[in-house]
Amino acid sequence: MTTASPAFAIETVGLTKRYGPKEAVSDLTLRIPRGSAFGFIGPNGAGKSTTIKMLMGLARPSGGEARVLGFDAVRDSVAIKQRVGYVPELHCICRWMRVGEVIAFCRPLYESWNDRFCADLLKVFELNPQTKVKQLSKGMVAKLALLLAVAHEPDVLIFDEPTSGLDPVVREEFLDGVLRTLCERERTILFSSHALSDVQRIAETIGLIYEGRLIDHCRTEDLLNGTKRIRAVLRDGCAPGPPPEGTIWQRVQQREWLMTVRGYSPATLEYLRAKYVLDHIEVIDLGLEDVFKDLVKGRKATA
Amino acid sequence: MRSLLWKDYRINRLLLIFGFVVCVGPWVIAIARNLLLEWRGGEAWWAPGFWVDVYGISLVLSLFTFAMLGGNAVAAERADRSAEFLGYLPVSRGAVLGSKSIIALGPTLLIWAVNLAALFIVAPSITHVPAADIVAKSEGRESLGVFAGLTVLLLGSGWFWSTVLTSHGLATGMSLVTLAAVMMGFIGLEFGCGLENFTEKWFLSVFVAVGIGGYVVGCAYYLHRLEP
Amino acid sequence: MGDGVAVSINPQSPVPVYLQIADYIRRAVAAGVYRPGEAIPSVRALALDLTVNPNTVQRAFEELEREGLVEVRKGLGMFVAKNGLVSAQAQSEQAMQAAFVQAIRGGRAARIPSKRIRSAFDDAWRDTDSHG
Repeated sequence: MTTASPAFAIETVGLTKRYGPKEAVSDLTLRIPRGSAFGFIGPNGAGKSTTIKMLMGLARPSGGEARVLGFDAVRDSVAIKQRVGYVPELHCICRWMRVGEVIAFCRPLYESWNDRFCADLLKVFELNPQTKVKQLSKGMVAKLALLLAVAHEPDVLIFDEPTSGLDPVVREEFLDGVLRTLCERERTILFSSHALSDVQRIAETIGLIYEGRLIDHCRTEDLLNGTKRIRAVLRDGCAPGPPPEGTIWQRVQQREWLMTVRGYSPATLEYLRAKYVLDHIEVIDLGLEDVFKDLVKGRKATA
Repeated sequence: MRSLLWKDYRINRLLLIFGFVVCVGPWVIAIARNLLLEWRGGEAWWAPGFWVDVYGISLVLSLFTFAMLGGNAVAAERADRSAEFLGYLPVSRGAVLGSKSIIALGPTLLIWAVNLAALFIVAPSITHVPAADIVAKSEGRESLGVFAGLTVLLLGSGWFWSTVLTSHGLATGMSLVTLAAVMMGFIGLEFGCGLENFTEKWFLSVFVAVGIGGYVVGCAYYLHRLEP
Repeated sequence: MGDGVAVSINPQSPVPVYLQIADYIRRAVAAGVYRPGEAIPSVRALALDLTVNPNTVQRAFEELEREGLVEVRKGLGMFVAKNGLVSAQAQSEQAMQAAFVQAIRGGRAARIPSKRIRSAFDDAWRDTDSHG
């Protein structure tokens, strides 16, 4: 157990998880510095939840190691849970408890619980302490989970698909709650989400995971600036061939050749102009959702 | 720890009420019946046999309570998935087990205390027969020793099954199956190997061993495991 | 929550969020919403209003500071620089130029003759004059 303050809030080295013959997470190496906002994206079943569970000490790694704030995820799990605010994908707060009872239950377990902040959040989220958890709507449960995660002022936030199934208004309220916490002081946040618009709002760095492997890890804007779709219209008689370097997905329809290039630069256009006879060429900017889809489609095609 | 105790108590509240009714009920009914008889001018039977009968009923019924206390311990929270909620709270697994042990053991000891008090304190003062004699009357019928052994076996094996299964109903059932298996083991040994009739001490030792073994193995497994 | 600032950023857009924020502030200054010497909303206020990471807002501010649109006053916050208006309008002009280039490219790709592209511009100018 380290006493020195680690440079990385979250660190995994060669993290692996096997379920029988299948590897849900393969050799994942990730380093998230303190104070950064990291978005974890990937298709269903790619290994995001499994990775997060291993970080929270809820699943035992088959290989490699995971550390949060310098604490080992398996040996010092309780210390991690003291300092991390965790929101799971599927909520399992005791349904028979009332909201007030849940808070009274959790409060003494944390050393740094902030009553004032908790009371504020109760008001902002419009949660009634007398309501039983089983009577709460999905959105209210999500907000309660967020309250429990941040009321003890954690240094690190780990969220697993926190806004899944929430309507747009509740989602906004949830994100607002998250941002209040982020604005207060330097905090690290790791969250996995299919709501890529959430990721684009909150994450400064993105990690893309596919079939248990980390296939991309960079700043959000670098991913967006560096990935472009090129639409090339080929002249009659010219056939498409090897695409430029960094192409992650391509499609040919009649004379139109569409390709998405990761690591786009002017050299990409030069290559195409030099190698093929083109009637027209244009560069299209992509949003995060398109980049994600093309990456996955491309991988599936080459699998 | 207090948080945990409150939670485990609330989860088992219905069972605790059942356990209380089933333990105290027979005493209340039997004694009330006797008192009613006397009040009507009849002759009530207060002999040692009466006390032995009633504690027998109370403890036999309570055996189910013990099996359920064991079976509910860990698996009840897995059944409604609130074990996962507990899983990411900063509590050590040792504290979780400690709280559950108290909630399982406490009522057990209380049920026994009620029955032992009735036998060793109340009965002698009413019948004016020494406690040892009252207990001696029960040999061959409802033996205190065997009940004690069964208590440990059902509680301990229920606890074990509770730590490995996800359904508390199944865990409770399996504790009864464990008892049946042990009994069949004895029968098998008796008729199959021609061993002599087992004495009460044999039953007691095996029951206690299985029960305590189940508790210890269950705890060790739970402490080692990371999944909720 | 979203009712202090009359704009929202588009998270689906290919334009990085920090650039969208910078763009919004630039346009607001060019339009005279914030005059030179006036304070612009704080990082925290904008982050909560737009529902974005405060670091992203900070990034936008740094970009604007580099352009010379805003300046930091220690302890007080971000203020529109003296030549902020000029800078903002220069940027807006560049953006307008880029939009023209994009439109022309689109016309050429659809193989519309040059004369028609030019007259289309005149038509558009007349349109905005009458309808605003």
